[in-house]
Amino acid sequence: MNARPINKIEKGGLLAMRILAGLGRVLASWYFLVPVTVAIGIAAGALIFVYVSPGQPKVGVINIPYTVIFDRSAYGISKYIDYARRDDSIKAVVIKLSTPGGGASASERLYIETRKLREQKPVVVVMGGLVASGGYMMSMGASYTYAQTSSLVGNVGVVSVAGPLLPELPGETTVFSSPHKLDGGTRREWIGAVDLLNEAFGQMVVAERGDRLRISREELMEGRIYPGMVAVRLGLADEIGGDSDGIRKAAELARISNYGLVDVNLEVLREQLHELERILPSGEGGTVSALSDAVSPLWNDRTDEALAGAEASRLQALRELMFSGVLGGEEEDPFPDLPWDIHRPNIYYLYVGSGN
Amino acid sequence: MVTRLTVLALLLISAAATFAGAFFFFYQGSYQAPSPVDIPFEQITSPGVIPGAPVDSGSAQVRKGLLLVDALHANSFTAGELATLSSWVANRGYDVEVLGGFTPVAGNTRLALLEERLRRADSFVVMLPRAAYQEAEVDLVEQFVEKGGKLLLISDPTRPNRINALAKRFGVEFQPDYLYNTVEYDLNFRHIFVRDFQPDPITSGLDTVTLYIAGSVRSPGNGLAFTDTNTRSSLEAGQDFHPIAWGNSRNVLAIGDFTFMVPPYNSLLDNDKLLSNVADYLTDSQREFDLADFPYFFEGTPEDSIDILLGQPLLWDTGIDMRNGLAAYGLPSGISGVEDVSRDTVFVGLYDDALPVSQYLHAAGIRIDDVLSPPFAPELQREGTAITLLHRDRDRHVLVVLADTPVALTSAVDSLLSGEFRNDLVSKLVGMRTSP
Repeated sequence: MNARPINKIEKGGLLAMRILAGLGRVLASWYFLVPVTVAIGIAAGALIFVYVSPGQPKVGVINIPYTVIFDRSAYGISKYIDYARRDDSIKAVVIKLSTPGGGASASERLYIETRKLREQKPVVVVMGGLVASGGYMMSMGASYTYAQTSSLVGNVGVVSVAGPLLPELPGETTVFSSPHKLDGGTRREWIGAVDLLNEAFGQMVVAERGDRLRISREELMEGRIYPGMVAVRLGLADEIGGDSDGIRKAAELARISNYGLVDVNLEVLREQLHELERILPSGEGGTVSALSDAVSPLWNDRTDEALAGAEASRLQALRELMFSGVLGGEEEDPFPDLPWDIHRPNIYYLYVGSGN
Repeated sequence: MVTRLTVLALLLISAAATFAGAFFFFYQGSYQAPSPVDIPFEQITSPGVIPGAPVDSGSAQVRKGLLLVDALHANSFTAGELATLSSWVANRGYDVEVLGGFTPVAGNTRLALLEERLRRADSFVVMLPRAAYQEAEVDLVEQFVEKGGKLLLISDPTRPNRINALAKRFGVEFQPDYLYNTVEYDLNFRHIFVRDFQPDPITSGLDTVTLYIAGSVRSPGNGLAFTDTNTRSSLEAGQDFHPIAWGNSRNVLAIGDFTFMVPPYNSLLDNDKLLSNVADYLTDSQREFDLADFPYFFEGTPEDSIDILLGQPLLWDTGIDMRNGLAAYGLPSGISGVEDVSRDTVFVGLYDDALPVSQYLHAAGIRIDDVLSPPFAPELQREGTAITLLHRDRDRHVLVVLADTPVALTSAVDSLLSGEFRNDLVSKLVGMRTSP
């Protein structure tokens, strides 16, 4: 058989096949296959680690500068705690805290929230200038507490207003259903209730601090406030230290290293802003967008210095917008026909200061 | 086939190794949450209601007298809070008069009112004055106590007051502290129990009293109640603080707590008994009345009115003036012809009519002949003079008004009724007036 001469096209095809065959041999060779496969595996492992789970661990930092705890401020702080609990990348939480306490219920709410967070993630409280009364109660929910030598710590106890010895009797036009419908009980019973809450506060500290407490219950219940170094000596706080100590300790308790930091305050703010943009009609979205523009420079900068000046003012305005509303608002005289003033709950875990 | 499996295995191994490497780069273990803390709230219970001890007030002596309560100095209490003490005192026969309206009163007005009402009072209560006593007012109260009047001083650390301006004159100083006990208390650490008492009528029958925010009292007199070793002062270190004490005499009682007498605290433990004892103290005044206290040394009840004796019938109009004047003070009286030694008496006469009252003149050292011979001065001419004399005989008081002429006598009676006579006093019991 005479071989048919191959034309140019066929020649080109053959060449391509030879090249492909050679390439296939190269690709199939161990010299190439192993590194490439390993590289792909490394990339896949890294992608899974970063984007699926568990990713780089983070220490969430909640900053609570001097704040009196009452319903609305407690609501805001609870938002921070809730975010730190929900964010799986946050493996440990540091709360930088400075507060004289405040309302009894609001303070206890923060203690409970902090304690629940502690059940999932280590919580380290770094005490600022003042962590007293209800603020100290909140710190009892933490896994570990740092105080500065100059921090003022303690002041366990309750304050309340019990009214005059002999209250004014209701007039004959006042109709009420039972002897204590108006006052809830006698003055003496009210004082007894305050005593019960005081006992409960003491029990809480004794139970939470356990063996670490080196002060008698009676001394604790005297409500004294101590400089941080004394508070540590008495077991009211664990150690002298600052923010970096708190972050290091939180990471140690969470057993993580090479962690990142999350400014929980700003993350919550961002989350709420997005939520507002989502739920508000487009016509009002312009307002939100404007606010968003106002604070956007802050998003990528998490240092406290960034919150200074006019930008801090804008941020505060945004906060007020987010936490205002019908609920919790003040109403001077909602029932003008009532002959009495309506009083809020007036039991406080509060340090009112040495000036008093 | 083998090659494909090998590649797949290589891929998985490298991915797993990377994952593990990254994991161990970031994680050294997992967080071990602490055991839940169990706070035994169920062990915290409210103390029960403290029972009150019944007080037998049936044995209390009933006496006549007046308890004056200061409300001239913007005092920090209300009339309602005084009701229990008033009730205990009234049950013992005393009248209770609240002087003032709990609002500030100008100094001069206050002084005049206090001077006027203290003349009549047997006992005086000063509680929580926010306006300080002036020096002249303190002098008045001191004179009152020196005459045997009973003084009760009450302070309370929770109510602003300036009682020490008065109390210091009697050796009492209320400390600006409060007493507390964190080991044993009633509902609040400032509600202390007091169980250690000095034997005394004020503490008679007391086992335990509970004071609701008491301050300590410093006094040179005997402490009547002592706190226990667990009770401390908010200001001072030490022990044995006195919340109740005598002042520099048994006519001055100081209590560093006000609330124990106010419902419902008065009815707890022996607080009512303490209040009963305090009421006994206040209604056992041995207050002596001087001539300056005219006409309040007379009892003057409708059943026991004052007899007015005239030295001679010509003085009838002067006797009527005296009767009307006494009536203006709320004191019933009547003109009588014979002295009844069981009744308060006013004798109105001329020097020449003095025989029926010679015993009283003699007792005062006054002799009336052609001249007057009083013990406080050399002999005096009788012309234009009048003598007023108060004779005290246990519960009876005899007032003698004598003059040289009917005109001088009328002038002396007018002077008595107007109060001008106090400028003519030469001693506690005698006044000497010279008519122009």
